[in-house]
Amino acid sequence: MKKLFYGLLGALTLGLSLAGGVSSAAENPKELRIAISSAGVGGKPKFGGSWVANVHLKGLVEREFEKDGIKVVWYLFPGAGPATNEAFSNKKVDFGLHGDLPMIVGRATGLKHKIIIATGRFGPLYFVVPSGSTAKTIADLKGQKIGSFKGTNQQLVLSRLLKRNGLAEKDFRVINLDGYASRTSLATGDIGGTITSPWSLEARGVAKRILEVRDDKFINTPVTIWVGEEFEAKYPQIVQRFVNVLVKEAHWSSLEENREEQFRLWTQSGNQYADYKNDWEGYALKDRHSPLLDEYYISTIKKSVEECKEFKLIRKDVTVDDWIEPKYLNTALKELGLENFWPRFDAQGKQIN
Amino acid sequence: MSKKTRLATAIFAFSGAAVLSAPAAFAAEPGAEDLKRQIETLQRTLGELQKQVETLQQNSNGATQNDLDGIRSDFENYKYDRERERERETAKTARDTTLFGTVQVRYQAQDRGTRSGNPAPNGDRYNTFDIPTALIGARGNLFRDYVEGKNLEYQLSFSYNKRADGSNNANLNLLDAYVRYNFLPTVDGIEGDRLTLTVGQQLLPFGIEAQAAEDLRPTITTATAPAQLGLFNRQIGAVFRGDFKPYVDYAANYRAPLFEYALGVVNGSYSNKLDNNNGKAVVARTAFTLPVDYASWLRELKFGLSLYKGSKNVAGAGGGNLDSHGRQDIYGFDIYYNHAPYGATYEYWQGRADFANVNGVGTGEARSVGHTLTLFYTFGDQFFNSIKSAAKFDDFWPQSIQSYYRFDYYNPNSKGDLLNTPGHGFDTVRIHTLGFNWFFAQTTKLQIGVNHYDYKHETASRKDYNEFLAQLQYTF
Repeated sequence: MKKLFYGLLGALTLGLSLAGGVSSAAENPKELRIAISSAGVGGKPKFGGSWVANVHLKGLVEREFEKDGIKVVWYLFPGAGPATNEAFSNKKVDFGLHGDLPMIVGRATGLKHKIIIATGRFGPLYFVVPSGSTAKTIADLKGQKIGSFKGTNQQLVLSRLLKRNGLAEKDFRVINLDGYASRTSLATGDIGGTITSPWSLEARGVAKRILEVRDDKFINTPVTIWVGEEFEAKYPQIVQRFVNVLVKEAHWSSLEENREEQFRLWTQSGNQYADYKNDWEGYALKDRHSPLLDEYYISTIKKSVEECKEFKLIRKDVTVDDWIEPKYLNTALKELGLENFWPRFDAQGKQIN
Repeated sequence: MSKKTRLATAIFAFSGAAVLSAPAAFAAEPGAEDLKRQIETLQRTLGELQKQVETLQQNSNGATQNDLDGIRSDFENYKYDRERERERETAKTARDTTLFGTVQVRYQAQDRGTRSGNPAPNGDRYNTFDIPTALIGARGNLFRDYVEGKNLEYQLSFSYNKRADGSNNANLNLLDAYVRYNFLPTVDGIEGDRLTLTVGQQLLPFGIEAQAAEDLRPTITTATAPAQLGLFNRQIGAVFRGDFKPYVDYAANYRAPLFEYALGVVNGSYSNKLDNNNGKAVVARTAFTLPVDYASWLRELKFGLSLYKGSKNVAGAGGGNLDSHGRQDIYGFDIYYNHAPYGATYEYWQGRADFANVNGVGTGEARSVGHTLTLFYTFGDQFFNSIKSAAKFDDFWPQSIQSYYRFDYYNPNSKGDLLNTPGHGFDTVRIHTLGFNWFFAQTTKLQIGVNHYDYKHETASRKDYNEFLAQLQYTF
């Protein structure tokens, strides 16, 4: 039995050594692990609302790396941005899709990644209350409970919205609810209001908008895809091929003739077609689907960093210029002849080409 | 302009044209041929419009009356099915209830024969199958506060126990039987403080392992000191538990309460028993967790202090009670570190309890000491909230293998000899354990472990030995 005891100990030690040795010897990664800070309705492993969703739903990354035997693993996290950070902290993912707040907070706490491409910008914002609510403005909800998925970009959006209305989080009781729980709570009247898409709730008669913002380019900030620094340093050619796949699909999604088709595609997430149709009504696909890391993108991320400090959401400073690595995007745009396809915007949100 | 609007406009235009053309017709006083042609033209136009209406109706995305009737029928059928299922096939309770249970199936083998657990007549055995745990319970809430989340909750559970009387029967003993009230809101997410009061039979808030329910204990066999000191026994009483000043890292939804505390009063006579003297036992605990971000290597590093101060009845040589207020104190210190894939726990216990002196006159104090160090390394994603909650269609759960080494030490009495309690560390035991837990489904694990028991003093009936354990545990 003593032999068994020490034999087991030896096997464990050998196992640990082998586990350490195999990964460092590989030329190509065995897996390409992508974290998406979103999931479908009820935790469904499909999402919509961006061209990244198309890439996932069509299996485009899988197709690109199939010939190399590289397995592509998508993690769709109902826990959103914080879950992506947790997974990256523990070296479980190589690429991540993030809104500004969790990405900045993660960076402030020491997570090392490089921003390689933007995935979406602009878009509307709605503040929604239960259908029976007497509130006409957000200020009417002072002292009441407001649902917000803390740690996600929605927390920062809410802070911005409140500030623009001369209010602050302390004027309300902001409780932590994920997006779907917030919508359920609106229907049951457990919260006074929240930021969410109103269309299907209004169709069911359970909620109504008291505020709609469609033309403010700085209320919703761009969504980002980053790559872990370690992975990027080790496999730059893989990163380039990955970005090429993304840019190609961003182009397809930006063509107006594909508007309806992609909305239909996104309904696989469980969200209704009408939600997408109404949310994208009046916006040029090219504007919202832009993958560019232009002046607008850089300035909004810098502003978000300042807001994180102002709202005391980060304890350490975050520098932006050394965080962005545009070479993969620039190469992809050049190779695909799309350098001038998407409009560029300046720091004030004005189109410059 | 919608199709229906266009159609309405066309009809309106047509009607308008017809009306406008009427005075002109009267003015020109047309003949019968003209009127006939006009009627034919009108009939053709009407036929074309009729076709357009039919085409629009066929292509329309709007619901027809038939569609609505179909949906209504489906709803009625669904309601009927639900009602019938609920009536005939659904277990119902008066309040929100979740049933749960834990079962352990074990095989153990050892290199020395034993007869423990069986009354005479019996023979030595070197291996056996066993069901060490089978418990079932229910938990839920008695009052749900939708506004603040100050809920009133309950838990009730029972566990079987083998009888050592030679029969093939078992007892079903009460384990947990308590109600718990949340004094502070629980709907504020991870930023808020916590405070609960638990009244009834419950686990004691002492150290790390003694607080863990049966299904959450990391090793097959428990640490010796808390087992010998009675800390795994549930007790009846009232205990406040809470924490304050949580350090929150929203980057990873990580909550580290700066201070945790517990303070309670229990009978001190263990489970399913009235108090056996007039002295209550006080149990207290405080723990401090480092306020660092989730990404820090120091995350989940916690230091804890625990105290149990009770009164015991000291039995004399003839079984009589020498002292109803004998000392029964336990002091504890613990360190917990969990930075997956690495983890480590260390617990120290010191017990001070009165026993009768060897000569049966008066009492003396026994001082027991225990240490347990456990080191973990996990292969797999079992302990990452992000990965295990990732969206999947199937019954996904990340598989993991958690390997561990444990050193366990217990000296029941480091002071002088007392009645039935040898002193000077005579009964000291050291146990080395090497094992792993294979989590292969959400609530099921296979545990394999090898124990080496090393006694300070071997006797005729107590020799060093080695033990192999394999245990399958499932919970539901």
